Amino acid sequence: MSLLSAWFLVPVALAAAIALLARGVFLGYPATGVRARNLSRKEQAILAAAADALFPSGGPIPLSGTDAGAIPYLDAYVGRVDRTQRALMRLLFQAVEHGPWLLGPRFARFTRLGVGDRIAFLGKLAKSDLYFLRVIFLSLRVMLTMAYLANQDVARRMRIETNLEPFAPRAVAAEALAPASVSVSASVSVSIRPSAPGREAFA
Amino acid sequence: MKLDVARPVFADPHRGVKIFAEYAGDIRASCDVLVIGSGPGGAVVAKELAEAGRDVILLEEGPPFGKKDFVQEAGESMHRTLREGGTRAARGNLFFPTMQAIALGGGSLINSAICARSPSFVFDKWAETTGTHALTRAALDPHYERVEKFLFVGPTPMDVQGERNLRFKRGCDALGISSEPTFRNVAGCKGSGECFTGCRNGAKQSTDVSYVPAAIRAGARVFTSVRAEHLVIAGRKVTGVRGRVVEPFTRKETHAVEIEAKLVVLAAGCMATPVILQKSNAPDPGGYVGKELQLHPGLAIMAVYDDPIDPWKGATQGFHSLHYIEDHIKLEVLWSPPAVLAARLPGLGHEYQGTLLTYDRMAPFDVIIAADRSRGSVRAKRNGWEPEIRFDFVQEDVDVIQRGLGILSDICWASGCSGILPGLHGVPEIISSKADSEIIRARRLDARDTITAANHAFGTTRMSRRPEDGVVDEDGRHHALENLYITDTGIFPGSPAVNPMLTCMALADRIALGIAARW
Repeated sequence: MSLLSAWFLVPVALAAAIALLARGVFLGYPATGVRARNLSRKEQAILAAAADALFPSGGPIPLSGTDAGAIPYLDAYVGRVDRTQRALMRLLFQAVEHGPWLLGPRFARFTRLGVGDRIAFLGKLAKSDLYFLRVIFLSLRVMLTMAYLANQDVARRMRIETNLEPFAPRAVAAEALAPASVSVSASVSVSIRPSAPGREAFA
Repeated sequence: MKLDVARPVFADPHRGVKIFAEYAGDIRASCDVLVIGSGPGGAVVAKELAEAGRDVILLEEGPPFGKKDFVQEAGESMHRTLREGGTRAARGNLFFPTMQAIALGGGSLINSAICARSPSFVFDKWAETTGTHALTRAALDPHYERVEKFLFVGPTPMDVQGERNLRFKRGCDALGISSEPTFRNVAGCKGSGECFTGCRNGAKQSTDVSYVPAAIRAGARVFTSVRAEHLVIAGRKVTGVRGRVVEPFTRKETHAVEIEAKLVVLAAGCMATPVILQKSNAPDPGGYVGKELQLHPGLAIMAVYDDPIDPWKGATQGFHSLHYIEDHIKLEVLWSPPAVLAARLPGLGHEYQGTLLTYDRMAPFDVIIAADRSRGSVRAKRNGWEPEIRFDFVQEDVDVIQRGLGILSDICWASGCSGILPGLHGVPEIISSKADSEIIRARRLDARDTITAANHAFGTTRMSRRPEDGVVDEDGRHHALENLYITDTGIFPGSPAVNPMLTCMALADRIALGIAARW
């Protein structure tokens, strides 16, 4: 190959690398169907992928993370924090998305991994010897868990009760446990209980 | 429990409190005493000095919250009631979450209402550190009594403990470790376990429904959504404060505020008071403003039982053990919004979901320590009003918390659990036998192996006999500014060994009575 053609190939290779990088970093994020005010399309995709890896559908709690409304929840959450915290959160999302390029299990961004590989990647973060990576995982997990448990159906399946008078005499308790599931009595007693199946149905 | 009403109870305890919507323009006012901060330190002073006939203005940056304003969902609740939306953290050798409230009532609105007197050895140690020999437990006892009486402080009744608290007691009893129902400032607790998101039952006697209304009845003016920013200093005196009206939740700044005062009391909290002093270029002869930050690092273990215990039922922190308090260790039952604790449960994917379904069989217990050797600092940032917090958790103190975790593990097993979730890096996520749990003692933990948090903070404007050793004297008066006092936990020369609220209030009571007597 002549020197001239080699020099010609350098910018072509550079352009191709930039195009690949741009594709890897910015492109290929389909809309999630959520009207987000604060999260970009890419951030929504990252969080949806993470939410459904942490909380896949069809499991012991059938609702997936996105089914449970994780994206609208996190969109509002990100919108509420101050500018500095928001910038840190956005960095955290990018670290999750591009972390697999460095940590594996495959050389692909997080949103392009299958569910099994996503879980494997999150597991690497969780058990990493690097404290910084464990903090990234914990921060992500706190946000996603708050979003998941904010869903009333998830809370009901976990039998979490919000009862202002859990030790009230039986008569009041019976009223609070009425099939209506949410009751506001004169003494303001709110109870969220499984309305149809009993405790054993979810054990 | 019957409410023994020793003071009038209004349908609206916040009657007379000025709120954001009422401000139509800049605020200019003058008074005898300006108190900054309506939490445990400030509200006591406002009430006592208003009742002593002084013209008092109380400023609070946060808004008032009524029973209907409390939400239980973790993210929303933290955003509304905590500074930096609950995401505040100290940085140092590890990432250290720490929460401070922004609300009328300050931390008393969203803490678990534990009221514990500091033991005598605490005051001896403070005297050793900064020469505060006048401040003994005996000297403070009358003030503890006054505060306890006003706030209906008493032991958590057994009928609202719930299984979560009772299992802890059972474990302690089995091991011969002393434990007791926590004393709390509540009247008519129903055991709803919602202390950390605000008491919707209205049982908690936080300062916004106790001391602040009493201050208003005595003539105090209370302005919420007002951030105090700069002290106006002339020579050795403070002549007033400049600040801003701040919209609740959005934190948008609106009107200017300027208040002239003959005497100023800073009680903005251990993290905010030093920032105000630093931004005001207040004299600091000892160089201690913002230094000597101490925290009570805390770590939790989750006990798992074979039978449901419904951890959401029962007083938030109804039982604790002071058995090892002289060894710097306090053991407690813990509860919080479920999602906050659930985030540390083990597993990913379906495994994690499966663990979540066993949540009703779990009880979190925690250890907090007086980390005497660890230090941090609080510094004003060039832009904004949030502090830059640093804290280094040193290995000697990590060793203490590890010892506490070992004891806590023993309590879990003695209480009849079938497993524990230690939540430590390098330790199995689930431990199914007492023998296996010895790893908690055997493996030497590093600070970064833990998920430690701390909400009790002190020392950033510490009290000292000599100006060169601290920021305020034994009467709470600034060493260099003769009409400036500080009454938040920043004045503690060290750890109070137990939950700090009651000691802060007793000190504030002592300082307020001192001001009333002298001035």
